[in-house]
Amino acid sequence: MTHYLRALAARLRGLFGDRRADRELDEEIETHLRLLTVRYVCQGMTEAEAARAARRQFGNVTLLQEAHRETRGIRLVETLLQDLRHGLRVLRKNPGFTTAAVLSLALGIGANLTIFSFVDAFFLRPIPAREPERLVNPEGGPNSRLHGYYAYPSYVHYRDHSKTFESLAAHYSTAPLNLVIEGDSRMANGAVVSANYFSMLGIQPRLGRFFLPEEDVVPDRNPVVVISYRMWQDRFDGDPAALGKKLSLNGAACQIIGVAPPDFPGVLAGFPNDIWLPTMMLRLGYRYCDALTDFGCKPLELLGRLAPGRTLAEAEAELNMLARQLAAAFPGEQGRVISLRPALGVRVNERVEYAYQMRLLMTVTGLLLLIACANVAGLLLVRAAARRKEISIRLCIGAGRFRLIRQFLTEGLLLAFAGGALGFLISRWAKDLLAVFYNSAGWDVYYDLSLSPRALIYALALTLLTGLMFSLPPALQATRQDLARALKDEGGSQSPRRLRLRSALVIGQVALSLALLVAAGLLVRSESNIHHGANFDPRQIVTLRLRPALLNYNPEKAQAFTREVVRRLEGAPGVQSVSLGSLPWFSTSYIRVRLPEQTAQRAEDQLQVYYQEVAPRYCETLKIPLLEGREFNEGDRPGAMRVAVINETLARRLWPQGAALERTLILNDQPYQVVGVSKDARLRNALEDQQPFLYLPYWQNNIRPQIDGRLLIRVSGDMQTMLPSLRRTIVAVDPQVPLGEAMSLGRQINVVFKSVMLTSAVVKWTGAVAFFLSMLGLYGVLAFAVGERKREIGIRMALGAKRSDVLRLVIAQGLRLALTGVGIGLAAAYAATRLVKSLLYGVSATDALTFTVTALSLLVVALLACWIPARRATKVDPLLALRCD
Amino acid sequence: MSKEKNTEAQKSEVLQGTLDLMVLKVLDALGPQHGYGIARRIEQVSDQVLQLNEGTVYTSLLRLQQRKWIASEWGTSENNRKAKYYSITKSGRKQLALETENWERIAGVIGRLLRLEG
Repeated sequence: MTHYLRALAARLRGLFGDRRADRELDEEIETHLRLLTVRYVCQGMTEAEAARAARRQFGNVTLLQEAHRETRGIRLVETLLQDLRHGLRVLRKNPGFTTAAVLSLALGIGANLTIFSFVDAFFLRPIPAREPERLVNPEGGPNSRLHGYYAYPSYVHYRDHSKTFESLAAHYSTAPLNLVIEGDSRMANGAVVSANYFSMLGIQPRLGRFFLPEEDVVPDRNPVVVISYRMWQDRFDGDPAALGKKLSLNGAACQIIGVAPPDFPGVLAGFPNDIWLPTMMLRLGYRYCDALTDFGCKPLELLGRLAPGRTLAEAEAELNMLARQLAAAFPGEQGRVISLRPALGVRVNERVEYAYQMRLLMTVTGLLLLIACANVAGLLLVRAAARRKEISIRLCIGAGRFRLIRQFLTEGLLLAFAGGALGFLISRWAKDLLAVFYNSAGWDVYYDLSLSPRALIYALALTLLTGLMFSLPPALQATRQDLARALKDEGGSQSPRRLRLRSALVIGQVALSLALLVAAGLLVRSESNIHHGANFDPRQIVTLRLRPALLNYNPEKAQAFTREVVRRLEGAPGVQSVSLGSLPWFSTSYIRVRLPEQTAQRAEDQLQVYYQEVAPRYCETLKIPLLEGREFNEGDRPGAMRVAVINETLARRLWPQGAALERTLILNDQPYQVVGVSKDARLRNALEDQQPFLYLPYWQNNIRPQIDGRLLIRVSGDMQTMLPSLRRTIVAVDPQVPLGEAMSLGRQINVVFKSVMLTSAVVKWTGAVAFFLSMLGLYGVLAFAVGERKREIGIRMALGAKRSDVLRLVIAQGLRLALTGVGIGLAAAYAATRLVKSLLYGVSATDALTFTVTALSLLVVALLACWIPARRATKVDPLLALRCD
Repeated sequence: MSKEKNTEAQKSEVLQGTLDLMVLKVLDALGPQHGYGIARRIEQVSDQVLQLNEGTVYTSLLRLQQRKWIASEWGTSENNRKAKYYSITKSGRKQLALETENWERIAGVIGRLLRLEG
């Protein structure tokens, strides 16, 4: 055994100390030959005879040298290095080819890596804690009547009775906290956490301490907070004296006891926390019900660390057993089925949305990579054709086919890794461009897109796979050739099989890029419909959310505040009009609607209509046209007649023949009079029909007393520069009231429709690149074909073919490919665009216009791509072409 | 060409693996030698029976050296040329003893077997 190891070590040494060993062997051989020669000369031979005899006796010197090298070095590695050197040389010698190939691959790989940054953030990233692989999330199972949210008392039941967990913590990580420092009010994303939260995660405070168990026992007694490292730096300049200071959180004074470590953003992916409170202070962050005592109030999520040696299945079974105990005692807990998952990425409700999105984007970028591969494979085929003779000669003199294929693959992998490296750089840059669709300052949403080991592994694997994918087919084809024919170098010998593969590649590219372009066209139209709005104008509008409910303001106090804010804003410079409400799209609440002559049936038989409560001047501010009647005014207040404005669709639905004005409606069993009919401001999604919609007056307090509100402010001038002064005007009314989600309406639309915007952006760019690559491919195959058919064209011209005939010949060949590709592409697009149906607004998935325009524009560019090589074909000089063999 | 082949066919090919044993034995018996010397000694002993490409001696020397059974050193040959001298090491002697014993056992077995058949 040991001598094998020794031999291996010697071989490894041999791999590097190669040259010296070679020289020494040469000297030994020479000495040996010399001595033999001398011996034969002594026996009476002539010098020349003696040298020949010596050589014969010694044997083949070259073979011996080879054998020695093989014994000394590890052959595989050595030839690999040789291949690499050769590959690099070849690539350096063809800079045009290399650039085209590396760029194609970089775009394809880069696009995929960019999307992977998001896949990683959404589905794979663990919580930054000690041994995160043991952290698990109890979520609602697929058949669960309850989602993965819990009231405090039920948490305590799980915590105290489970044995499969080392520790089980509760957290509410999206607590809206209004922070007032020196008269400046700002929202922060807080987390209300059980006292064992930090110790379960196994992290240490940067400064001060975390919560003590006794601080989380009596409700509202210990207003202590831990702040994030970021907040400590931004608000306190990293001053250790911040410990012990008081903060005003939602109107209550809280004391800072600790600072979290720098890289700890909390446990909920996408919602980094700046402030942590103990669960006993939950009422500060959650105002809607009392989760500390009421089993029906469920804002908390659980996060557990499995005890060593316990499995997910054991823990899940135990939690469900505890859930059944709770259900038996408390009806509000009935029907809970817990499904335990490793704590990775986002929580369950976002997972579903993002899974659809990511599948879509991965498909799109995957197609782009395929197109890029086809392109590079095409280029490699051309190059293999140019190297036909070299390859034939090498095969003739005994190079193994496997050895040649390996060399082709080495070159391919070199290209792939160059493309992969560049693609990696592209993705680091492009992910930030796409991040704006997910991360948003106004909503405090930030996904961690930093580089992870998983992303690196994925990049490597993808690069390798790509390299094999595009270099294997040309390698196999190039080395499978008719030696005799290739060596004879028939000028006109276009290998039909090679051309067939290239043509198929081009048709595939054209088809795929057309499908992508059609999808891009539909998405771009959808995006522009959303941005420009249907019957409203979102430009020049700033929106802000007023949240006095967080301070427990009563409706009277809150409404007095809101009225004063509106009054002052109306007088502010640069403000054109002010109202309360949001876009009809953002409504998620609906109301039951029926006519007075209809009897009250079961609730589910009545029309369910989305509605929104809006203040006077709403239609004026958003520029929503009114068909009949008026919008709300100051007279629509409590005590006055209840009124409603309905949209066109609802009016037609209820009164197909007659006018709707002044008619009576029954909403949630209360009569309302229709005072106005507006145009439909909600865009139609391709999946649904036009939706009925109605507006109710904000100040009439019909559904419940108003406390919070959203401001809509139409301004003249730049919105970003206006925002701070608008903020100041509002804060001057009451500095304590939390202001959130301050942004332009356009920005808000981007966030709400991020799936459309993001998909559109990705598909648009992918489509453009794919289109470019496929046209390059088409051009390439024609240019190649023209080169191969030079002699044929020469003969045709010698026989009297005119330039136009030649032009037609080549263009027809190219257009045949393009048309086939377009045909297949249209069929593919027709089948595929239904996948993006849910993202289409105001345009149908089979929109004839988009299909036609895209196909035609592609054909026009294809014609151009054919024309250039065709022109070159007409320049063939018949004499030269015939003579060139 | 065919004539040449005929005459050479009378010699026996060196059995795979036995060359290493021979080289070791030569070094053990004669002390440090260069490649040429080893080839001469084998030629002398084999009495023209074995056909040997003398170059293969060097492959064998490299193999043995990698296993640390022989060591090498540059020196000067009889006619004042630079030459590499090989000498057997301690572990080489052990290996030689082992292989000699092995060889004799197998040769004995094959001899007996052939006599039986005859």
